[in-house]
Amino acid sequence: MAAPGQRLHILDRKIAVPGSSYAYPTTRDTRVGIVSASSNAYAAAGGRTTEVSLSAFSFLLSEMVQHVQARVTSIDALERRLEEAGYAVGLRVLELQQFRDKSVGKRKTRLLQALQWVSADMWRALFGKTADSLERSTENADEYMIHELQPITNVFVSVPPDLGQLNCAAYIAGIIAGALDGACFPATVTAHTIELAGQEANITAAGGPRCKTVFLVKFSEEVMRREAQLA
Amino acid sequence: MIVCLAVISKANAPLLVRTYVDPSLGEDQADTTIRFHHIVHTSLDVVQEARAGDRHVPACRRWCAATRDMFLGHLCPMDEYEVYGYVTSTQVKILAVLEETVTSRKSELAALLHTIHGFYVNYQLNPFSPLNQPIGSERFKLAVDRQVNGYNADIG
Amino acid sequence: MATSGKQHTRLGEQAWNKMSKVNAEFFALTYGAMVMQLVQDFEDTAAVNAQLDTMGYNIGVRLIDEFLAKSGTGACADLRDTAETIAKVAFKMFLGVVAEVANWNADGTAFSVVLYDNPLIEFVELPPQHCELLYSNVLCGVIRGALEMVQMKVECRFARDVLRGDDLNEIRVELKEVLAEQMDDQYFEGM
Repeated sequence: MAAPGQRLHILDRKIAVPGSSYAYPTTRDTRVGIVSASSNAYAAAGGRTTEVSLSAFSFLLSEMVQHVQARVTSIDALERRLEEAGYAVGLRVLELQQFRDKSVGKRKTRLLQALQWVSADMWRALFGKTADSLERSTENADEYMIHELQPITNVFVSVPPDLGQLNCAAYIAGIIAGALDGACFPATVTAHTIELAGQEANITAAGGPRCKTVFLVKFSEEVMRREAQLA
Repeated sequence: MIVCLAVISKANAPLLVRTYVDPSLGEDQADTTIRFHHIVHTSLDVVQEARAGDRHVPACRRWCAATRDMFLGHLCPMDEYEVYGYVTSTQVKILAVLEETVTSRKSELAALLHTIHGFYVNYQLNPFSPLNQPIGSERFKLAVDRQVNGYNADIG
Repeated sequence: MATSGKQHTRLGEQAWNKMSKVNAEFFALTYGAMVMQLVQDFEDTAAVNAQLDTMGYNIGVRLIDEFLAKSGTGACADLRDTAETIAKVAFKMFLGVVAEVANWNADGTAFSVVLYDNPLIEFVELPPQHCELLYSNVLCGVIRGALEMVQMKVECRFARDVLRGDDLNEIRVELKEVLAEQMDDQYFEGM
């Protein structure tokens, strides 16, 4: 693993996504109160904060990775621990969002509904946008891919060369797994770095990322059996 | 009036069982708790059925076709009580055991269960809350008690 | 040249407006996940508190660069200016909240940063077995690390903590030493 002096570091802000505001339907009572949804309530001055800077998040994640890195002996193990941390968050986010979205708060009973909820609704709630795309694998019926050009975990965090294979989006992979498991669609989810090719590489701005992240979602046998019977 | 409120995990393990029985009636607290645990446990089968629809349909189709509303309404009578249920999207059940059938106040009961669902959501957002284990949070218990006592006071 | 209170607030707002944002709840959940990792890895609450402080320090020494680059604040004239800058500009810029400076000591070498709204503790309730945990201790480390990079050695600790029953969050900052500037060798050449 990395020598003690090696650190994940924050990229300079110049090559960054444009600042964007995430509007969330969140007003809350005090801590004992209900979590209730209200339409587009981005609280302006005076209300409880609904946003923090991406920098703060990036610094935090960077330290979290550093902490875990010191305790594991391989990049795989590092990614597994990030996934575990994300899993607990995913379960909680599912519960929270399902409670809030009363209009669409019905249980998801089909695989595609669950995946679409994750890649659109959950994504929007956490990251202020929907995932770039959702695809089904052509090779394996139980595999789906969620594409994200720049996951929020990777925007400002650059990885030193000796941790080259590490994708901090393993944390998000864990969140996806937790959310799907909570919704009764257990799956293993892993984050993979893919080099951009062809059209995609042309579309991104000069100086922009050369890789994107693909979250590979592999559903359990139980889920696939159930889906087959429901089809 | 609500005499018992229970929160049950996805795996049907009780996370919280609160009883609201008048102690002057003479029953030992321990006996009360056991009695209501039994009532709650038995009611869980009914929750399964309420969400299952026709038993002759294959399990997966039942799972799919089952009602997707969270408030299940009246589940069953149990001893001298009536049990009402609520299920969240993540399969957590909230059961309310009442002394009588609720007709005119059904929407208030549904609202109460929904509010308690909200408390549960808040509770499990706490990073220290162990998932699928009995709820130890005093804050949660107080909040539930306050809601139930408020509901009971409104009727009485 | 000292900056007035209103100017601090304005600088804070401007810096905040320039920053990319994330969902505060997601941030709080992530911080919670990190604290839970520490609680699992360290048996001892004191060790967790110390680790949070260290992590904060590591963040602070890097955060100061971004702060100086983006906030538009010049060098602080004195400790009072520094205190106001931390509370009104830095907290605003990074966490989207405004803190207040209070409780100066007689010497003017110690002050408190009072936080009414702490994005880290959204949803958090400390269980009894962790009642000694300084959940937001990372903030103390950040202040300490950042100030050390601008030649101030301080001690920071939580004097009051909402999670432990107080009505507000108060971080006590005490100046211990002003560090000598590291002079570039070239500076001495002409002497």
